[in-house]
Amino acid sequence: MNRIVILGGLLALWLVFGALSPVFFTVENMLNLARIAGMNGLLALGMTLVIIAGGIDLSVGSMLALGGAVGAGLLGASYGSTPPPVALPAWLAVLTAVAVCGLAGLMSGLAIVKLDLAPFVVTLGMMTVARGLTYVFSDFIMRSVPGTAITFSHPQFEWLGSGALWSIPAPAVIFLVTISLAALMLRYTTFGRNIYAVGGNAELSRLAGINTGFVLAAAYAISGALAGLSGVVFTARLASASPLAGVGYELDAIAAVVIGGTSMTGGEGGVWRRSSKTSSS
Amino acid sequence: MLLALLALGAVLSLSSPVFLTKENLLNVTRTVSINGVAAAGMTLVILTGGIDLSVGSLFALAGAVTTGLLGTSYTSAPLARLLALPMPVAVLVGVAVAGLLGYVNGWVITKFAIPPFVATLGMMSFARGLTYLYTGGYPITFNVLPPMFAWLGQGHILGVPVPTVVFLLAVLLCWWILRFTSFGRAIYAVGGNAETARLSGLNVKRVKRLAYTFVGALAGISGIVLASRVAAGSPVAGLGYETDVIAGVVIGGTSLMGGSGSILGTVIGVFIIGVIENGLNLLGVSTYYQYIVKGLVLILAAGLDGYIRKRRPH
Repeated sequence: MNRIVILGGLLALWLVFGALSPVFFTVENMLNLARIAGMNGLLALGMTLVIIAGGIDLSVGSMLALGGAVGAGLLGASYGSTPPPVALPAWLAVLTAVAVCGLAGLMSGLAIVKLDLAPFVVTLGMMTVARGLTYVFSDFIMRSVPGTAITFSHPQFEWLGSGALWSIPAPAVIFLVTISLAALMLRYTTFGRNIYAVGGNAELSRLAGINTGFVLAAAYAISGALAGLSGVVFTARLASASPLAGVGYELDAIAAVVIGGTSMTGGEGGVWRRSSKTSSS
Repeated sequence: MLLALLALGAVLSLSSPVFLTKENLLNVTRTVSINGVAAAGMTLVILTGGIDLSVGSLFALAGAVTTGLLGTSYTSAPLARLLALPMPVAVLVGVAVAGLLGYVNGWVITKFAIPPFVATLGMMSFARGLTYLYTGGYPITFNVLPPMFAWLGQGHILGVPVPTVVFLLAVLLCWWILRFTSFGRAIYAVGGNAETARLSGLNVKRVKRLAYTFVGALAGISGIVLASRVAAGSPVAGLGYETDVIAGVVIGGTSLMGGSGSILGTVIGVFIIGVIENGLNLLGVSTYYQYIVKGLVLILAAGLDGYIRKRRPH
């Protein structure tokens, strides 16, 4: 029922915009929408997992900036930084960026689980830490005016943001693949079912033999990794990694999840519902 | 939490000779006061189990409206040039506008059963848009800063900065409300269990609407104090303000689930954030490393609190 209402709302939005603007239903605009929805969607997808598990992740906006900076910085193709301190192939740079953010997410998760802290406070702290790391890393790469963006030229890397596969924008493809994997995981794997269980009632899940600490920590790690991936895609689209990227995105991501019907108290929700809001932005 | 704050203070007084001077402590208090006023109101909203993300925008809107209404302000925005009011009226209008939009928050949340997070996120955009419209996108500055208005942000009462006096009054008011009024007790009841509160005959919706109106008005007051302090009503004032305000409340031990927490905790919470920032500046830590250290100390302070609470026998 809930799902029908949300889908109906999205459809109504589309019809209104379609009626108001002659450009809305053009192929270009639809592809553009898919590209933007793909980038925001990755962020909201990780957030969905964390919120289903009963937590919250305020650090995704900063992680997006960190992932973008690490990915772009490691390419060694930035303007104004010669010779570059590091130069890695594109795939390795992307992998490192995702891994770094995943690791930072894991740190948040471990602090929440091991020290029994409020997710709000820990991820708020991580939001500041990751932003600071982004600045420090950007300075290390650029060695110029502090706080400048890493601007670069690297066709292979940029494809992730501006390329297309059979005329579907690459960000949309990446998003579709990731959300499908996440949906399968939530529905069919033990880990996926455990995420719902922990969010529904952590104490009951623990007594039922679920390793709740592992589930929570993994959820935050995945959220971090996906935010990092989203940052890579953003950066690839702009050919520039600003240390100020993604400020305030955590609120958009959380709102997307909540509008999609996932309860803030955890234990219910799904990944497909959420994708409807992101595509209406 | 008090212990975490004291520990921070002890470390800083050992590592910086300036930390414990009267000037520095007053300075910290003044900085903290601006966030603290809204945090006091936010405590009430979070105690009902809600949240208000729009405080930063209401903060900017109230500051802009009040500066625009003062006859001596300098701006080219047509809306802001419409009216010139005496200073107390201009301040009242600014606070009323913020309070009214806070009421709209509460009304939308209770009438349509929308999650507070979503409703107030919408208001955050809406009020920010109004602020841009009103100011024309540029800060409203002053040809002549009216002395009475300047006093709000820059003056002193018996040697205490006026913003701090405002903060103190806001805290006392909230403390009194929570402790001695039926509205305050109802807030705890609603946050503890809204359904039980309703069945016991409390008007849950009214309590929530009042709480959101109250935090809106307080956010407005702090916005006006800041506008006076910097002698300008900026359309970009208070961006990210909601995070600092909510962090102060949560670090102070108020549960985001509602029903448990205290105003005193919030005071300590906002002071912890203020002292961390002040300390890093005193120690000359470069801005970028400040981010990293601030985040880590935040987690550490919360960790220390949790550790002590766990060890304390019940």
